[in-house]
Amino acid sequence: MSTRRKEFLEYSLEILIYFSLVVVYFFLVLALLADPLFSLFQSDLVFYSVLGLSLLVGQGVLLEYVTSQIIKRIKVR
Amino acid sequence: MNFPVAGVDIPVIYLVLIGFIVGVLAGFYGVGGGSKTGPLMLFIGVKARFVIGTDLAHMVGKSIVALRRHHALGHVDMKLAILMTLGTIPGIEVGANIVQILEAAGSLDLFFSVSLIVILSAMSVFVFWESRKAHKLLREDDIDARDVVAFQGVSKRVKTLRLPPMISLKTSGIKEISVWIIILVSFATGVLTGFLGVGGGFVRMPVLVYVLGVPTHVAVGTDLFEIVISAGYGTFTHALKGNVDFLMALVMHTGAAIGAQIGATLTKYVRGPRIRQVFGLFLPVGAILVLYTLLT
Repeated sequence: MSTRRKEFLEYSLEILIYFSLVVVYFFLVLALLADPLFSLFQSDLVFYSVLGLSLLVGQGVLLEYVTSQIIKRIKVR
Repeated sequence: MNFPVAGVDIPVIYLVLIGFIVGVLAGFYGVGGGSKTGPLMLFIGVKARFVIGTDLAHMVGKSIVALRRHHALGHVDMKLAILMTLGTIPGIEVGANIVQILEAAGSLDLFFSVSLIVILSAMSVFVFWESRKAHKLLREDDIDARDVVAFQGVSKRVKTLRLPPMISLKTSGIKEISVWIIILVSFATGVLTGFLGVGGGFVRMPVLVYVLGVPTHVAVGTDLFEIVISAGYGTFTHALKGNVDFLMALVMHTGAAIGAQIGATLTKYVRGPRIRQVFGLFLPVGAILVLYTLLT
């Protein structure tokens, strides 16, 4: 298999895993945090700001970390 | 789906799609995508104060994703990026206060829309003109280079200003530049970030290339670092003022995170002038959408 093709397959797999994780994360947040977030918005803006920002950063950093760990495990096998 | 914080009903798929499109663009030319998201959100009926805050919020996560990818490709000048934050943070605070003043005066929507139209149109014309010229240079002179800039007058003059302290930026290939120039440039883009609810990238990326003389690929990566800081701070300060719907931002980020990964990887295969040319072509889309919303 050529290097370019191998690179492309690896990259596609990474995107696929990442996409699945993002979707799961999104539905979890939607199901568990939609109402509490609105209540916080009305009662405590500081906590609302910290929690909201953490959720976004978490989605960006945590999910990519999990993806790269999964990819590493697949490569080892 | 209902978003109670912003008080609007918007289909989830629409927000995910907006996120995906601006995610690809963000990863590709190193901007937060606010110049597109803002007009699109205004277009679907979100109030300007929530457009500004929520747009910044979804930018944070997406830019982190793109930044990590660019860092792996060696496209981030950390020294320049950290120095720029010194000007960006006070700039955002000034911009966010301008928003509050205009909101109190009842003229925020008009100011926001007109400013976006003027800035986007001007940037588009200039960047498109320059990148075409640079592309022509590459073709005619048969230069085997990844990047060529056809407008270097300003960056050459800026480098002759000797206001101490002077520093060198190895990753950007700049031998000597005044720290004050970097701080001044980042302060100006910070004000735009706070005022327009954008990461400032659509102004900062060209400024890094044309004013500071940073290569396009490094400008894209470094700009993303700046966007993470500026959008993160901007989100927090706007959230405290009640201008952010985090649920809406999370929905948009679902599409944006995937798009940012794809866009950032694409830069590996494209030359600098071509990146700028695509960038110049996309800017008027935002201006047209804002103009349409304003007129209707």
